[in-house]
Amino acid sequence: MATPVQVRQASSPDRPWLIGLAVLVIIGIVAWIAQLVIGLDALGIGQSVAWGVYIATFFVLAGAGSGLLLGSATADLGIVPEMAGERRSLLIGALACYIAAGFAVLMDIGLPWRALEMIYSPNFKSMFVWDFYFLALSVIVTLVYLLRAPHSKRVAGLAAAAAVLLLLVEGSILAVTAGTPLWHSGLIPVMFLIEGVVTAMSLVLLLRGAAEAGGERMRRVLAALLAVLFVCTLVEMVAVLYGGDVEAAAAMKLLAAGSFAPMYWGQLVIGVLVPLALFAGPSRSRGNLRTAAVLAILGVFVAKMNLLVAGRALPFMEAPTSYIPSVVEIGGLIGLVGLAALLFVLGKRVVPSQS
Amino acid sequence: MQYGMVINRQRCIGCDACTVACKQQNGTGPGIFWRKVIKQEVGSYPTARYVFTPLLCNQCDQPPCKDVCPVGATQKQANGIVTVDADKCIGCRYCQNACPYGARYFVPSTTKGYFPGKGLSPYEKVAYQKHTVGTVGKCTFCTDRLSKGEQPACVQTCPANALTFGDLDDANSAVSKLIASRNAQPLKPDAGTKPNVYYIS
Repeated sequence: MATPVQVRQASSPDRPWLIGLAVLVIIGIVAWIAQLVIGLDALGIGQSVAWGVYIATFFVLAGAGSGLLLGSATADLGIVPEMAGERRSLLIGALACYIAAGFAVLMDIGLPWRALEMIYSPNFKSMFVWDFYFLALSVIVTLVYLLRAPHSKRVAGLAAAAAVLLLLVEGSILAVTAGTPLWHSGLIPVMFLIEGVVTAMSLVLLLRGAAEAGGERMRRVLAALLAVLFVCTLVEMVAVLYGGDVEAAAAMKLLAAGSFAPMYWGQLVIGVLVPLALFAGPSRSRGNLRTAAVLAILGVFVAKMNLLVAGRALPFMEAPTSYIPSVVEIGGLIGLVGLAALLFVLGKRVVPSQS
Repeated sequence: MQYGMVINRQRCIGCDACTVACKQQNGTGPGIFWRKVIKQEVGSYPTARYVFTPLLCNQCDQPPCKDVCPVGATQKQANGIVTVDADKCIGCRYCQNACPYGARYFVPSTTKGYFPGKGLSPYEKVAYQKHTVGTVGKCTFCTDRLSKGEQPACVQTCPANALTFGDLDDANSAVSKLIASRNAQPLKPDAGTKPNVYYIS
């Protein structure tokens, strides 16, 4: 008799959240339907800047998922033992992000119902296929880790490997694209790895604050990772500008001193340096830490957008072009964020806590 | 066999007849150019001049678009032409990012014609049926014309005889002789793609 009462009491505070998040998902569904009816004309992408908000969102969500999975694995491997108590939330969050990331790609491709061709007819020379399989592997490992083997060090090790490999493959999708010189850099997969961990740790801090176990260490690690990201970004900028590849240098000039400069330097200052200062500073106020976490996550998203758009903004021998997301894409983005959050809230309700 | 093309930029007059012929032949929609002519002004007054560079798929020996295609929709055929299987393409557009020559175009819709507000012309209604929305397309050297023993539409149309088409594996073909005699060079030779479209500058 007591169980239904307990369930109702536990679930009632979530209800406004669930309704709000469901509305966001509905917005995304409407946007996707509009896109399927209208065609890719409904998107802001063009023939040169062919990847936009959806792919950036895919990178951020998959990065966050892998970062969360890595966080749980490092806890069980004894590297950050304080996080072991958060294992269930981390793994549910990872799953939610992975699933939403999968939808981000499906929404981006022209014929989503043909995605299964990557199973029937895969081309293993393509990083896209490796990404598909590593994403699937990460989802399976996360499910096993969450539901079957929450305390297994072996599964934790496998999960850590899957998470790192997925992030490196995501970065390699761009790094091996010789036709877009700005992306053709070995540093990009490493930056994807760092950005994934930054996104995940920022999400954790955002949701539970730094007062909990491990929060203080997480704050310091985040500051260090943001410092590394800042250095990587500057090193990449100098290397590309003076590296001798004319096309890559032209694209980098767009970022550093051209029409993308406000986004580029704005991202570096507001999305990297400000959160770095807030995480590293003496203030322990929850508001400051939350602000830093939000800025860091937005910074990662804008960094991906800058890379995707600036890399393709100078088509071969043609006039510069750009990209402005369409209303449909913004609707899709809202839906994807809502989906990840909704799956997380639902997962916390559905997955038994004893696992 | 490896079909290829030599483009004599000294002969090209930038008239875009090849661009239009390609569009008529292949029925590509607005904003899609399987073939285009880039016009650049070089030098300064009084010696400024226009340089015209027709761009199309280079039918590379090592096409990066083929390597990145996740489902193998892009293939290099026995005659050297790189093709896209529209029944297989998932529309991820990875190949567009991989092509160093900007030669690939996705089909955003087949409802947008050249006469806004007037619907599709009878020609567009028929021609657009060749294209699948969401997939990526490119120059095929007019494969259907080749099968009938005809030259690609752009080659046949060029009023200045700036385009020469043929088998690069045949040392006696006109293209092979032109490349040898006029020192024709491909675009981006360092890209590692081994293009099969050559330019006489």
